[in-house]
Amino acid sequence: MKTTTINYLIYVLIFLAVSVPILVPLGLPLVVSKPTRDVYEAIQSLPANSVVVLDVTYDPINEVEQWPMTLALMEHLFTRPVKIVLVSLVHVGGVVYTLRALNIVDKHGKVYGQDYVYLGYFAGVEAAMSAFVSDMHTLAKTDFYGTPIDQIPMMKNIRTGKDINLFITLTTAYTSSYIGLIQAPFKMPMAIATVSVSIPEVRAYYNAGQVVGFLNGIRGAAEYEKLINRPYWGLGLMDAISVTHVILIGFVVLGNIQYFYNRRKSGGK
Amino acid sequence: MVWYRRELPLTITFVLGILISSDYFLVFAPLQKTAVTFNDFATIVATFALGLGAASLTLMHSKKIIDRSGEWYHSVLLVASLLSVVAVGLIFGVPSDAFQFQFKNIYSPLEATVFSLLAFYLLTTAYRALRIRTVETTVFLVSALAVVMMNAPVTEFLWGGFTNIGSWVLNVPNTAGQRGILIGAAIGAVALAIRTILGRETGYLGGK
Repeated sequence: MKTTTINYLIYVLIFLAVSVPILVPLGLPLVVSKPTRDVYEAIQSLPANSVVVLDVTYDPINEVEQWPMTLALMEHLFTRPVKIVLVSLVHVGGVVYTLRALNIVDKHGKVYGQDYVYLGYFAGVEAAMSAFVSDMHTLAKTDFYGTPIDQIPMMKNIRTGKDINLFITLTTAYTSSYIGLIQAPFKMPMAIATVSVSIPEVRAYYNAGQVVGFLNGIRGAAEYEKLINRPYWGLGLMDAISVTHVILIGFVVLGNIQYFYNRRKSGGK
Repeated sequence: MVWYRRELPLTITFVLGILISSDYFLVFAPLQKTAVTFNDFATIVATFALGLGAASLTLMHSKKIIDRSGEWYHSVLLVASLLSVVAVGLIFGVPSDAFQFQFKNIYSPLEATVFSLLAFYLLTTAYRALRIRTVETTVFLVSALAVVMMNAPVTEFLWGGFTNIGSWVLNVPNTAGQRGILIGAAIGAVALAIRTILGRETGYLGGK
């Protein structure tokens, strides 16, 4: 078979593998992995009035993987008796996603300013991370909506990294910076919800105990949705992920059969 | 080179480098306060840099449009998009429906479309490249398949061992390699920082 014909066949199959399971869910089984459960447990085990920072910081290119995580994590946090500080420390896109998620998730009666606050986006990446945990009050004079931070009741006792009980970042990069500038200086429990391609790096920190848990792309989002019993996008996309992966494995096997067949035909050359 | 183009930046780098580094290791209130202030300076400078970048981009492409040089019509699209996003943001505000519409219905689908093409290219590449040619490619292929199978929930139900093999690949060889890279990069960063603070590394001054 010609290479172009195979390419077209792959394109059609991938298109069908992604679109059909989304339109007609297959209900394939899903087991919750340990790192995802660890994130869930880290939030569940927080005492009342603990401070959780949710750093929503990704751009549209990673929306498919990280938007379901944003909704699932925010939904879970709003069910817990904790204080939530929302911020965006790397990508400005986080502002759009944070505001959109705040409009969607059930806030379970939590009041803005008393139970949760949104500080907005800060430029500078590493400088912003460092400044954020050094003193939030000097970095952010106001919240995202322009209210002076000193007039926000819940921010009265939240000032530096020492006041944070759990830091969750929805980042796509800068994992090492988050560890070096935020987690390590304060020995702060940190969870990372990121795209699958970043997981090998995150896993090194997870195995070292510096990250309490992580969400692995769409799969992590789907597992989390299963844990909180609130299906958003993630669970809907899981069937597509399963079918696509099986097709990938099938084509790799097919490619190797073809390779050995051609080699034998050409006398082992 | 005149003093303010070399000696002044080197002095600022030295003083601030020592100050910010010391804050990481020493507990001394006045030092911490000064370091926090300079950290905030950095975020302010970065914020201005965003505006400077947008202005520079607009000027560069405006010149291209005026000169009708190259594919100038692409520049028209870029400048028009940039100005419309800025205008809507300034007039209606970021939380407004109008701004969210631009992001949700134009920018996000465009980015997602480009990124989703990767799935097609990755699969055709995997089909052609993941072949058992040598010992190294066999190890690469087996590792890749183990991780792929681990990530596909349906394979766990065929045989639970797929997850164990994939986890081993990620937890042992991957973690060992990642740690080597991370520690090596960290030592390199420390060396670069020391060289920069001491004025031995002057690439940021323009390469002279």
